[in-house]
Order: sequence, then structure tokens, then C-alpha cells
Amino acid sequence: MALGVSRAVAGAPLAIVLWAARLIAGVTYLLWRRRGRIATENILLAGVRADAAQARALARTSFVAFATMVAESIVARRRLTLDNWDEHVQLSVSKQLEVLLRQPGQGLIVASAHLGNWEVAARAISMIKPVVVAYRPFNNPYLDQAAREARQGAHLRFLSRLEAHPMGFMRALAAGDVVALMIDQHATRGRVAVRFFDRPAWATKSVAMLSLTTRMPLVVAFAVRTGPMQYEIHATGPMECPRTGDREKDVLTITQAITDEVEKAVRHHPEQYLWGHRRWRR
Amino acid sequence: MSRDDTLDILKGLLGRPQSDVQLKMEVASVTGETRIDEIGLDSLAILDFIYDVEDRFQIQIEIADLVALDRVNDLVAYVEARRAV
Repeated sequence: MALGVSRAVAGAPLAIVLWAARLIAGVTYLLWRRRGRIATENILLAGVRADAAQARALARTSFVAFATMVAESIVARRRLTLDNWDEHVQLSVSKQLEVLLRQPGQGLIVASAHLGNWEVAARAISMIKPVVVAYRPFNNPYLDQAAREARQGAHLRFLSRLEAHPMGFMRALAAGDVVALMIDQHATRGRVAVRFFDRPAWATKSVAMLSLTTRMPLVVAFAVRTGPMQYEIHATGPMECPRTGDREKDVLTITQAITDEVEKAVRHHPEQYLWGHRRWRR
Repeated sequence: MSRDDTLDILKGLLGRPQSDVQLKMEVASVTGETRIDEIGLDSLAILDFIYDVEDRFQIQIEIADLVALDRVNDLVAYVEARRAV
């Protein structure tokens, strides 16, 4: 059924898809009150809105942004091609990063967050250089397989963080691929304490350790939505990630620097951030 | 330092707490013939382990070389070759 819906969305006119996404987001916000409350609480904790009414309005907007993200990601699977991707996605990156992206054999670590459209970002970058995305699988293995197959592309692979491929990400980097990891979710293990919106939060050590161990360039990137099926990829870096001899300190420095970039981007585009995740769990 | 010494040190590093990971086998039962993938290190624990190896032997492991290593003996040989440079 999910596959059927996905095919229908991919083939429908964009205006109808976006209208349906707004409708579904509105209904979901009304029915899934708990998630709406979490989003509102997070917005107030972050201090990006002054009072509860404004926070609720922003939470609702972010629900629409998320539904739009899902809808346009499905549409992009069929409509974003090697020939037309740059009509939909503009690269706003440094010359240095553009050279790295277009250099065959050059691995690249990309840290990102649930801002804008991370799926379209990965798909667009995969038109330049193969991309391997680290992802957290669904509990249901059938759903997971279906979702993973649907999300993948000719040069876009999804690799579970939980699968027994300890060298998978390193092999991808060694082959000159982009390895993309999300940094903005609460981490329960292999984690480091950072500050996000000036509040304590746990983040994964994986990005920093991958950078310190492989010595591959590390950038922070997001695809911000600028219009219907229109995105701009902003990137910071490559970041300086020297080894000082104190691993824990280096991991913290790198992870905090990435988290600061995420915070900066979220402050610029709070309506495009996925606020419904309990980011500040202990 | 003999190959056995290097192997023992590598096993010692494997025995350190690696990101809360439960290995698939006892460190004591790891031999030179054990495949690195079979030890049970996850994607974060292997990064910690490689970092430890570089620190302990004061070498730099190139990523292209690392991904070509299959068995623990390959890593032992690689470490010894690097230390000899």
C-alpha cells in the first residue's frame, strides 16, 4: 500500500501533492496532540518564540514543512534527474568545497540535521558524487526494506547504523563517496554532551570519530526550501579537525562546532526544522 | 617486538570498553586468523579501536589500506610494516 501511495504521489501534479501534504499536516497536528505538544515545548525551550501561542503556530508550520518535505522527497525520486537536478537545487558552497565535491575519489563526511529537506539534499549531491546515508532503521524489517529501497537512487545508498558493517562507512569514504550522518537527534549510546540552544543535549560521537580517524574533510550542510521543489544547499567547511592528543576533548570540540552550525541554521529557518523530537532528553 | 606481542597488544586494545559494545566473541578467543568483521565491533567501536591502534603504535593508518585489511593477522602485518618505516 505504501508503495502504491508513493507511486501515486510521484506521478501527481506538484500543486495537488503540496495541497494534500498541507491537509495531512493539519489533520496530523490536530490528532497527534502529543507530538504537537513536544514540538511546542521544544520551541519554547529553544527560545525561538516568545510565548505559547506563537510556539504553537510555529509547531503547526513545522508540521506542514515536514509533510511537504516527505511529499517533495517522493516527487524528487522520479523527477530529479542528472539533467535537471540543478534547476531544483542550487549549491551555495565555498569554491574549496565545490572542488572537493567534484574531485573523483575524494571522500567527504557531511553532517546534517532535520532541517529543510535532507532527502532531496542527499539525492541532489548524489548527482555529483555517490552518497551513503547513515540511517536508523524502522523496527519492522519489511517496512524498513521497502522504505530503504524507495529512498535509494542510482548513486544514493542508505546504510543502517545498526547493521553489522563496521567498515561500511570507511569503505564508502575510501571509495571517494560522501558519507552523510544526522547529528541533531538525542543519542543514547556512543554519545557526547553538547549544548544546543544553550541547553544540555546528547549528540552522537560518530561524526567526530569518523573525521578524526579517517582524516577526511568534514562539512555541515542543509538544503533549505525556497519554493515548490526549489532548494538551496548551504554548507560550512571543510572544518578544521586536528588531533590534539586528547580524544574526548577533540570529539567534544568537533561535535559542539557542528551542533552550533545546526543551531545557527535552525535560528534562520525555524519553520523548516523538525521540532517534534525530544532533543533535550537526559 | 614480535608478531605475537603485536597481536597481544591489539587484543588488549580490543578488550577496552568500546562504546558500550558487546563483542561477538571473547577477546581471548581472537586469533590472527579471525576476520575483523567477525569480532563484532560496530561502526563507532571500530573507529575507537583504530584510533587506539594509531595512538598505541604511533602510526597513521591510511583509510584505503584499512578497508583492505581482512583478518587480524593483516592488521598485525600492517602495524609492523608501518612501525618499521
